[in-house]
Amino acid sequence: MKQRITLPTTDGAEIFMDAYVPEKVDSINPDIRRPAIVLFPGGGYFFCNPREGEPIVPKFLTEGFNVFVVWYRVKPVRWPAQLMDAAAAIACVRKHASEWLTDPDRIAVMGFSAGGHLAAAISTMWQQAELWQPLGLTPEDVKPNGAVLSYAVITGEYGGCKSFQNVTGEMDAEAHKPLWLLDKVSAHCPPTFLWHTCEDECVPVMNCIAMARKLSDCGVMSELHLFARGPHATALCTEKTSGTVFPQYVLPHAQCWPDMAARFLKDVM
Amino acid sequence: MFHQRIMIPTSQGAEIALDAYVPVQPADTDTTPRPAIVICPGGGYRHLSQREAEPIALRFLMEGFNTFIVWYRIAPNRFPLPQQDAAAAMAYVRAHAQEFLTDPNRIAIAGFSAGGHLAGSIGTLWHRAEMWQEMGLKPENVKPNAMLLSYAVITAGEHAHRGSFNQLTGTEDVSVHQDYSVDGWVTENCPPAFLWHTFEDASVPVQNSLIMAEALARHGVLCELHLFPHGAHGASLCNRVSANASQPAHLLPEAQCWPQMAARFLLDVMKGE
Repeated sequence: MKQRITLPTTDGAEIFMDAYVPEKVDSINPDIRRPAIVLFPGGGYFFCNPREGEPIVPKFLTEGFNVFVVWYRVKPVRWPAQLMDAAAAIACVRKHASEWLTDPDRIAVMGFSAGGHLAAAISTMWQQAELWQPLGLTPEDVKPNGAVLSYAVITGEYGGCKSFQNVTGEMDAEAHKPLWLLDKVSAHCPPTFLWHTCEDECVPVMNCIAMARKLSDCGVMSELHLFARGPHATALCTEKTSGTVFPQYVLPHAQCWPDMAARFLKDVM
Repeated sequence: MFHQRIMIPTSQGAEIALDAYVPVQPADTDTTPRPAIVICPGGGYRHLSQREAEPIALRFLMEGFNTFIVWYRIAPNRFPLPQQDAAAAMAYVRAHAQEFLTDPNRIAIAGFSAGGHLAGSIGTLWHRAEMWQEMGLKPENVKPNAMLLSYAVITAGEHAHRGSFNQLTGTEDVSVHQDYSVDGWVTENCPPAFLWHTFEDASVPVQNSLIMAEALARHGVLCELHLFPHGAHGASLCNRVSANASQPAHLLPEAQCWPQMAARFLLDVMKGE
C-alpha cells in the first residue's frame, strides 16, 4: 500500500512523497474515489519531522482518505523551493487521481507547524499562475480543496519560531515578510480547519487567531479549535506520537482534533 | 435538589430574580464544595431567552456544577444596570456559598449572545470598584473565577450586533457604542475564558469571538476558543432540548461537545485557593 514517489523539481533535485492508498475492494465499492490529504510534516524548515509523518497516516486512512506525505526540502535549501515541492505534490496527486483512487476535486493539504506554513502558503497563493510556470503547472493543477493547519506558522509579526530564518537564510525580518501570509488571505482560500494551543511556546497562538480572523473577514468557511493547554508539536496528542520521548505531548482534551478535521474535510470538500 | 427562585438585592434599591439549582451531596459522595456557574441568558439586552437559561443550568449540573440563572434588567434599563445585576448575582452566590454547597473561589460567569456581552463585562470590569460601590460590594465579591462566552456580543465596531448596543446604551450613536466593546475592557486582570461560536452566525458575526480571543491573548489571559463551521445564532446546547422549534440550524451534532469541553476547561482553570 505504501509507495515512494519521486516528485519533479525545477533544479533536478530528488524529492519524495510517500503515497498511502488502500486497495479498492470491489465488493465494497468498485468505483471508489476517495478524498485525499497531502501532508506536510513540521520541523521549522530545518528538518521534516517523522513524528508528524507516517504516525498521522492511519488515523486518516481509517476516515476514508488517501494520504500522501511530502518530504519537502529544508535548510539550507531556500524558499520558494518548499512551495514548489508542495505544488508538485498536489499536482502529482491530481494528475494520478484515477490510478490512486482519488477524487481530483477533493484534495486537501494538511500541515504541522512549519509544514502548516507550507499548507497555508499553498492555500493563499495557489491562484498565482506565475509561481507554477517553472514547473509547467497551472493554478488548477495546484489548487487545494481544503486545508488543515495544525499549530501552524503563519507570520513573524508576533515573534516565534526560527522557521523564517531557516528557510530564507536571512536573520532580518524584512527578508521574511514575503513569507508572512496574513495579507495574502483571500476568498480564494479553501475551507480551512485550524487548531492550536494557547500555551504554545514556539508558535504564538496569535498566528492561529489572526489567520482565522482573516479567513472570516474573507468569508472562507473555517473551523477553529484553540485548546488552552498544551505545548507545541503535539501531533495526534496521544501516546502514539509522544512515545517515551515526549510524555508532555499527550493531551486528552485535544485528541478529538483528527476526528473533527476529518468530519470537516468530508463536509466541505 | 435545592431549586428555588430567590429575589436578590441589586442597585438603586431594586430586586431581581436569581434561580438556584443546587443538587444534594449525599454523605457518601465527595462533599467538597462544588464549582458554580452564574448564567446570563441572551436576548439583545431587550429580552431574556428562556432557551439559554434552564437548559444550560441543567446541562452543567450534569458536569458537577451548581448553577444559577440571573434574570438581569434589560431595556429600558441601560448600562451599568444589567452589569450591576450580574455583579449582584455573583456576590450573592459567593456570600451564600456555604448554604449553596459552593466553593466561593470557583464561581464562573457564563453568557449567551448579549448575555455574553454581560458576562464579558463582569469578567473585564469586576475590578472597577466604583461600579459596585452603591451596592455595598467590593471587587473581590464580584470577581468571576472564569468566563464562558457563547456566541457573545463583544465588539461595537464593524462586526457589532448593533441592536444590543442600542439597547444597552439607549442611543443609536455608533460613536458612543465604541466605549462599550468588551475587548476594549480586557486587562491582565481577566479570568481565564472559554469561548465558542459558529462561523455561519448571521446575527453576531464570528469575528466577535476572534476579537475577544485576540484581546485576551494579547494580555496573556489563558483562553480556549472553538469555532464550529455550521449553525445559526442562538443554538444554545445545539440539540433538541434547546433548539428553536422553527430553526433546523440549531441542531448541530458536531457542536454538541461544547458543554463538555467548557466544563473540562472550567474545572481545570478554577482550582480554588
